[in-house]
Amino acid sequence: MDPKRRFGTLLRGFSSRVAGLIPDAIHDRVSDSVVRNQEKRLVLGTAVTSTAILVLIPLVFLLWSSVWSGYPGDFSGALTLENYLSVYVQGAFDVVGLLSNSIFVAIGMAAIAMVFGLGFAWLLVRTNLPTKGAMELVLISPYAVPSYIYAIMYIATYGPDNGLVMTALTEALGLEAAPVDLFSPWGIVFIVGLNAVTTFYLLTAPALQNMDPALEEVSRIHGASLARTVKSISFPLILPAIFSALLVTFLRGLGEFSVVAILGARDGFQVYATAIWAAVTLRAPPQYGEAAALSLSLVLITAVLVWYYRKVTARKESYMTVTSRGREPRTWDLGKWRWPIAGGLWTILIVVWVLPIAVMVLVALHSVWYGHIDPSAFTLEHFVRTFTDSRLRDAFANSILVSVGGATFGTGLVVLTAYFTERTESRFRGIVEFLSLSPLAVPGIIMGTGLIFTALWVGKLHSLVDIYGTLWIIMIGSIIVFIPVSSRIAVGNIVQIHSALEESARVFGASWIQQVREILLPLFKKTTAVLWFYLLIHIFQLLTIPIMTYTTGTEVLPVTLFNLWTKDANIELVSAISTVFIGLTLLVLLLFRAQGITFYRIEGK
Amino acid sequence: MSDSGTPQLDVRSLSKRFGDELVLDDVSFEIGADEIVALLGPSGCGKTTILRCIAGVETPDTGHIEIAGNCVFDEGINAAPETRGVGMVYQNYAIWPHKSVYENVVFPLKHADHDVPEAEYEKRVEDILELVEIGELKDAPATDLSGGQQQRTALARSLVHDPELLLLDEPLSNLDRELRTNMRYQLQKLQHELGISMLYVTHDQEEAFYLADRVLVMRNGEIVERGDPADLFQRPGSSFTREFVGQWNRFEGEIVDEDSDYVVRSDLGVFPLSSVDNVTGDPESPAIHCFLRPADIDIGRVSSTDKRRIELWGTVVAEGLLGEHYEVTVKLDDGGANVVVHSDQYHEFERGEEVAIRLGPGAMKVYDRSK
Repeated sequence: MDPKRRFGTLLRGFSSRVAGLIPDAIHDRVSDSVVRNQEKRLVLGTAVTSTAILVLIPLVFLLWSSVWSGYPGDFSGALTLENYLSVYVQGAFDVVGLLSNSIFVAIGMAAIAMVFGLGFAWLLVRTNLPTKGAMELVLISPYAVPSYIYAIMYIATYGPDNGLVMTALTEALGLEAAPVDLFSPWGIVFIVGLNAVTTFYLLTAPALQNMDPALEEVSRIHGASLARTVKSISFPLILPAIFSALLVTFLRGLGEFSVVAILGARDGFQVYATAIWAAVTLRAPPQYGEAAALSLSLVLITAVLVWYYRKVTARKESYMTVTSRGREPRTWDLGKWRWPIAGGLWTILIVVWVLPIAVMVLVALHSVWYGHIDPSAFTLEHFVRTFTDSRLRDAFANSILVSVGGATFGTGLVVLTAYFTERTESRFRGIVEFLSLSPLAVPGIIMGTGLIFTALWVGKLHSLVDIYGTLWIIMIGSIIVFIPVSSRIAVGNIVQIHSALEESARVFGASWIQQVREILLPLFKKTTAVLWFYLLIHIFQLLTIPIMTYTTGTEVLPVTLFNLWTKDANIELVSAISTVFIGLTLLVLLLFRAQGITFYRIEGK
Repeated sequence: MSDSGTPQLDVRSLSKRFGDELVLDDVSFEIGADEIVALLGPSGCGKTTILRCIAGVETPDTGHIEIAGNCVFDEGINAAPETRGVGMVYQNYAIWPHKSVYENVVFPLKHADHDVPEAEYEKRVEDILELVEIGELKDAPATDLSGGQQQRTALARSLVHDPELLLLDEPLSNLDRELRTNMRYQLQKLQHELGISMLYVTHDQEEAFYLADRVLVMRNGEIVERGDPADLFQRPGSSFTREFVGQWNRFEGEIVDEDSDYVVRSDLGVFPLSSVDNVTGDPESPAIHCFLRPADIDIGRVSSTDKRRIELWGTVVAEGLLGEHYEVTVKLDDGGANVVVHSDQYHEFERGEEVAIRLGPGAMKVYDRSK
């Protein structure tokens, strides 16, 4: 909007009051403020209540279904502890095995992500490593690739049977079988870990960037070498950031589904998420009650971790107060090690990231893939099918609907909720903030399970709210799982907008709605765009919620891709779809980037 | 200047560019044993860059740096910061927030070269904390410290390993006025007790003249003037220093040849060149700056009969008490220049009032404008 007009609107409200008699103006203002507060209450109340309902209801129905003898939606059942007995006492599931596998995956994932993510973060932010701009771009680009595609890429490249590199290695060394087994638990951990490197990097690099370079310099001036400075100054200083990145990665690891489902299938390696998924969607009849009972023990563990995470991140603020910001980023000279280190890092990036993508594209170009490049088998048939197959087209259309709708609703919800927690005096603020963070403790597969139960129960009330088997349930679930991260982004931005700007608008007579529209939203436009973009990309890639809640006709692209692999093992077609998928995501990322919108923030040059 | 031969610090022909900007232009100076040298200049003049080059956290383009007789920078030589044996206090103190005061201060003992045996670390830290008067804060976490306490901690940390040279980067600029005066005194006392060579960077002339044995005045990456604080304060050799040091009225003017007698023509009137205090004025380059100290001007409501002084009339545009004196700004009727006058007495002038100012030409200092 034209700034002159905007200011004019403000002034009009002000001058109409000045023009009137003063007692009138006072009277006017009192009755006005009642109306304004109603507006404000209505808008914020709706948003906050929706958020609360969304995060709580699936858990309530999950709990209910776990103590109900009938199926969800079957009112003839009765309260029972049978499901718990069956799961934890009679051994319907190998709970100990599942738990130890989940923890193994989570620890491995966090450890690998930390080694690579933190190493890259320090080298890229705090040293004069050559080619670091390009390196960072390559490091961040896996953000465009969901983990199930990662797994498929790795099968094509390093898989023991037809992986390009593995077959070449096996033949070159004259071995009977591949030297490394991608489908083993270690292979799985390695891949989920690599997939989390980008996130770890993005969570820790800002802390290093914000660290006052003088703190490192003063250490070296007073006698500590570069290595000692890193050890006793740099890392301890960003320890809070490292710690919260570790916890976030660990939590993700506990709920990890897609990589385990794809790679663990051969040897029957199962974690919580895959077991719950199998119990609900693969068994006939589905083991709803037992799946619910099993889910709750994992939720209990993650809830404790999330509570702890809150405690740690709350303390972080006080930790960081002494550090002030350096004027310009100063970096350390790696001296003669610059190029060898850069070379080593590029090798890592190529082996774990660039090569697998290239191989996947290559596989997609073969009519049938046998683990060797075969020019005579080159074809575009899989790409043609990707674009012409009606099932894929429908899935693509569903994906667009769900992600655009989810991004739009989600952004509105999250922005208003963040406004409520940061800008009002309501006594429910604390509770709402806690609720908006709580989905962190519920892995996607379990949230999906809770949603099915909710839909089955609520659908019995009226056909209008019967969302089972519709795209709505997928969209709602997708919003819920991203509420924690997106509300953190929103809160972080609202805090930066000075409340005096808003207050002055209201002093000049703007109503609350006007004030939000004229002052807050324009200032907040960029954040809104970033949030929308973040949700769009992430909902588009999300597998866990759709895989639990889809039915025939509501498949989204990730579901179709997953099913094509797990049911048909058609690696050529899956590779072609994945290539297009990644291409599209990158295109969207670049489009937004050209508009100046990115959801990671890297300063520097 | 040092009488023991080799200087503690020897900087020769230091130059450094940031992109197109020349931040250090052929800078050379020395610091003798136990000497305090202040680098004085406005912000952005390159003084902090010199300090950083000496500490080794910035690399000059060319030049030569020697600390206690050891070359730490020259062509092909660039010693790592940890090998240079200096101590440094940053402007923002750079106290490590994750360590306690003790852990901050003991750090150089653990890592740098010195003669203190490990068993005496704790005693040594305690002694130095006593010296900077924060002995009771030994176990306090760094996040609990006030600005002044952080400053003292930073000072203790930079001194504990008895460095060859202490570098201070505007160490007092973040403190409030009272604390600054106190710390200035403390620093001087400390230097006398420990006998250490210091390079002190500041934009505050009071600090520089109070603490330093020698002052180097910097401008745009160059040292424009160097010398004894008293000389620099009373009669500096350049117009830039004159303006930078103390509060002075400055007027533009020129030297004109009038009937084979040189006269100074300025906003204040015309005076024979022989009657003013001519510092660097030269008829060959006629553009000059005339400086007049506010306290050298008298002010009153009526004309004086003293013919030796020049009397000018003007209007009061601002007035008020400023620290120890009463300050009046007078806009001259002729030429319209503003003149600031300091008076020991409290006058109740009102804005718009007509007043007379009186000055003796001998108080006027004339500098060549181009130098």
